[in-house]
Formats: sequence, C-alpha cells, structure tokens
Amino acid sequence: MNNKLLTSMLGFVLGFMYVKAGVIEYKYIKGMFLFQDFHMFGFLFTAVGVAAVGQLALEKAGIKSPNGHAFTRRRRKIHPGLVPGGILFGLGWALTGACPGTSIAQVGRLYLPAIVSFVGLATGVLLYRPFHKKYIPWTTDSCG
Amino acid sequence: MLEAILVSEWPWWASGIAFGLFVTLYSFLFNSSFGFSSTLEFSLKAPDTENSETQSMREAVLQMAEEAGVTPEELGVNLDELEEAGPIARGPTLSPRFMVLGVFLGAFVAARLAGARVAGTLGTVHEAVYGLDGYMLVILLFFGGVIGGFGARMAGGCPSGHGLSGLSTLSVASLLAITGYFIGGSSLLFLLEALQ
Repeated sequence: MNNKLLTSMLGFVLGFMYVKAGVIEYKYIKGMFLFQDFHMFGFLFTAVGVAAVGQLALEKAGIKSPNGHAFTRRRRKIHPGLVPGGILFGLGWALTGACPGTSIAQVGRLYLPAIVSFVGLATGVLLYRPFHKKYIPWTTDSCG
Repeated sequence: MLEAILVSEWPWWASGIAFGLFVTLYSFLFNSSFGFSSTLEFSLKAPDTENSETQSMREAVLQMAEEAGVTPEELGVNLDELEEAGPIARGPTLSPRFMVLGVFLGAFVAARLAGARVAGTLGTVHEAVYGLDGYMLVILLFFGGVIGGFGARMAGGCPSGHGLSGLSTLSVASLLAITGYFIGGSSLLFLLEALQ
C-alpha cells in the first residue's frame, strides 16, 4: 500500500478519534490539570493499558513488522530535556488546550482560534531544532 | 449502536481502548514509537538525518558498487539523477504531511457527524473562563503554542508520544515528561484559579 494513502488513513482515524475521545475539549484539559475531572485520566490509563498489552503480545509472539524486523517495544531514552521541556509544554497545553496532534483536530472541528494554536505550535517546533543544535548537548531520541 | 460510534462522544474507556489499539497498530506498522510532535516537525521541515530504516539511493548504489568492485558508472547508474530520487525504505513509512491532512479530515468528519456547530469554539471557553477575546486570545494561544511546540521537542514528545506510547512501553523517560507537563500545566491553572 502506498505510504501516503496508509498515512492518510491512519491520520483520518486518529483525527476522528481525537474528536470522539473529547481530548480536544478545553474543559477536559482544564479538569485534568486541576484534578477535578477524571475523563482524561481514565482515557489515558485505559489507552496505556491496552497499548502495553498489545505491544507486549506482539513482541512475545515474535511477530515481524512490515519492515522485516522483529517487532520490539521502543523505550524512550532518559535525557535532561524531559522535565524542563515537559514543564514548558505543560504550560502551553494548559493555555491552548492543544498538543501538536490535537491542535490539528481542533482546527478540523472548526475551533477557529485553534489555527493560532497550531501556528504557534509549528513555530515552537521549528524554533527548537536550531536551538537544540546550538545549545543542547544531549539527543532527545524522538523519531515519531 | 452506529449512532454511539459515529455521532455521540465516546466514554473514556471506549476511547482508551480505541487509542490503545491504534498505538499498537502504529508501532507494529512502522516499528516505531507513535508521537505527534516529531510528526508535526517533519511535516514542516524534513529531518536532517535519515533514520536507520531508510537509505538514500545514492548510498545504496555506492555500497553495491564498492562491494562489486566497480564504479557506479560501470553499473550504468547516473548518481546525479539518483540524488533527486530521495531515500528508499523497507516497509511502510509515515508521510508526515499526509498524517496532518488525515487528522484534519478525520476531525472534520467526526465533528460534522456529531452535528457540531462552529459556534461554541475554544475561544468561547477561554472567554468564559478568563474573560479573554479578540487580540488577547490570539496572543495567548500563539504564545501557548510556541512554548508548547518548543517544550514538546525539548522533552522529545507530546502527550501522544510520551503519554500514550512512552507509558505503554514502560518508559521511565515518559513518566518524567508527564510529570513535567503537570508541573507546568497544573501550576499555571491553579494559579489562575487562585487569582480569579
């Protein structure tokens, strides 16, 4: 299957699910950060649980990914940028109610101010790369 | 039943199952961790280095030529033409721009099906909550976006990445990132609540 078609389909499903899950709704983000609303936590724990079991099952079954390699779970590396970056991101998330993926879903849902959030996120993401090259000695080990 | 799936908002446990399956599928297809901050970055500007799954045509040819003990020209290959061809990869690869497009369309359709109206925007919530509109809202959202995007790349992931994928593979790194998210977000919102 063509990569672009596959990716588009995955993206479509993801965008659809972002809206259905309500994770683009500011009220839930706010409720999460203030620990007043269980919605986001319930969602996250369930998703993590299912994904953990799913990926573990794939690994144990010795399934080969389409790229020919055996499927392995990717653990993320620890590096100094995790917490400071996380704090910065959290501030932004609390302000916009958006993360890179959900901002696009917000625009798709026709939350028009989300276009500004998206442009901001895009700007921030693009600003980081040269900043990282110039000032940061570690690698973030992020390949999407 | 169809209405529950297509029209209504899903209960958190149903969304959780759906996303869990999605993350599993994604990681299987690409043998890579799902995360949107890098997808966003690469949809805007291609990565500087190719990942291990891709190999430029040029390198592949040079390698073949070396192993065969001949020059690329003797293989009948024009290297300059190949430069244009770009990287090759085994297995499916993600096309970041199409991911962005897909998410937009999926969200659009989901919202249409749910009968969403344009009114009731994010801005309304910000207005109601913080008494903001117009220019202040634009500035706030832009600034929030910039630090969000910057922070996400510094942390090496956003909630989709660290939150879903990272935690599902039991990455301590992701726990740290998420702790960061809450330190930032909760502090800010608690502060704003206190100031109201």
